[in-house]
Amino acid sequence: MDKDRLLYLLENDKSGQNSPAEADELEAWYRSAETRPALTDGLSADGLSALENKIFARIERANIESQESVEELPVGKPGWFAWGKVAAAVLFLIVAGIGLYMFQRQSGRITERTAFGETRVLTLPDGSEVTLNGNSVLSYDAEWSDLREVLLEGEGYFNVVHTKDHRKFRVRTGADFSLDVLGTQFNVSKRESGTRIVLDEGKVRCNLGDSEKDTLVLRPGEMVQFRKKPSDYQRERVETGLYSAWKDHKLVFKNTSLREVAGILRDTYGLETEASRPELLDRQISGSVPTDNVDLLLQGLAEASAVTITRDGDLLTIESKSR
Amino acid sequence: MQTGDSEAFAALYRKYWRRLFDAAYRRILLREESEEIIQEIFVDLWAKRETLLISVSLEAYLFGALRYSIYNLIRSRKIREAYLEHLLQTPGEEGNYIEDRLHYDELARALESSVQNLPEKLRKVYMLSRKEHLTYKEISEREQIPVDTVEKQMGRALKILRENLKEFAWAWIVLEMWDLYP
Repeated sequence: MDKDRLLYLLENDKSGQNSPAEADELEAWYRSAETRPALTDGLSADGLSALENKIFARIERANIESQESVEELPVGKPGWFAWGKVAAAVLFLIVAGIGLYMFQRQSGRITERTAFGETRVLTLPDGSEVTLNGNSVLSYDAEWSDLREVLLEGEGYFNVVHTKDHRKFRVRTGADFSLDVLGTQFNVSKRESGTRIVLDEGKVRCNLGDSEKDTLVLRPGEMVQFRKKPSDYQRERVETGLYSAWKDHKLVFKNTSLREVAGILRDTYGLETEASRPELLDRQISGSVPTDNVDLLLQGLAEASAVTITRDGDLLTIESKSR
Repeated sequence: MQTGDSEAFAALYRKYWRRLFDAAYRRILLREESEEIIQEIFVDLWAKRETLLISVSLEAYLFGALRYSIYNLIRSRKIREAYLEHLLQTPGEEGNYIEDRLHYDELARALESSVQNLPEKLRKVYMLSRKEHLTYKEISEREQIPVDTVEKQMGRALKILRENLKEFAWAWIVLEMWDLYP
């Protein structure tokens, strides 16, 4: 095989455009190398051990560096968050969280749940509205005191009304994480893949821990996410609209990997995904798919990523189209 | 693995690194890039250890990831076109193999001779830690010396080795891991 042919086949493989014959040709090239000798067979025992240790040291070092890069992020300074100045604004948040926060069902507590794939609009005692996404639970005290606090597991879009006495509205997603807002609209969800907050407009203060100092104030267009510990958060600027589209019965992707999409399908629709080859899940898709009809959604996904998706009950199987 | 256990991770690495490395090297015939690919696969595995759902066997997953990395490397043109041409025309074992084996054996020799020159006590502790993968606690029990002494001796051994090998950047990397993960 010449280099142009190989590069052609590899490009096609990436986009899933290889015909079965071309896929076989690439496979044959990959396999043909098996006849070459193993480099490590010709090494001395010490050389082998040195190589084993060298690569392992590289791995350990990279693992440590990636941990440090998360820890080094600056923590927002509290104090410049002027509650009184927050105009009614659209605030958009997504919170997705690992770990299950156990609800303590108390007397006088109201709990609302949605099924997989169901979305429902709720009105809270103060007149605020919450749109709950599928597979989500919202609970709150029937009688609020000074603080308007709700507990969320899953995902929801909030439209919070501003009270005359400037009472705080708090969304809690777990013992270790909550957000404070005042008279805005926002979207919160807590899922298995991690916790994510995206702010569309206005301001929100994230409470990362027990200490008053552990707070982070988000600016419009910013996203904060963490997997487990709120203090290990990462902050970046994003296109916020991508994260709220579900409310309008669609999902919008921009260079989103199928792996991430699989996470959404699991969290919101209760669908598990398996891939015939793991690298298929690294394919990225861009575009918009409707969420009203799950089968239509899957069809859109399959077309956008040039794979076939077969559904058997709650199990999806992703396969390369060319095979 | 999903519990995030670093010992299980190390065991996994020891089980698969060699076959993965050989499989990568066969296809790209480049030492440094092969190391890098194996590094990335395991770093990725570690990062995803809590969320990764593998529907195939772990072995199939690792080799699938390897193939993906190799394809990506070639696609990304980090391998220069001229080299790619050469790679595709190389029928079997030649230049690179010999040179690269020499490289690793030299690395080992440089380490070895430095280890041999260590004071006896330090060398003993170093060998138990490195060759037999014993923990400081296990070394302390076996040699009947306090754990903090093991730790101090290991620290001194590493310092000496590092001093002796400072002209070799690669040897430094190999030594570094015992500092981080005693």
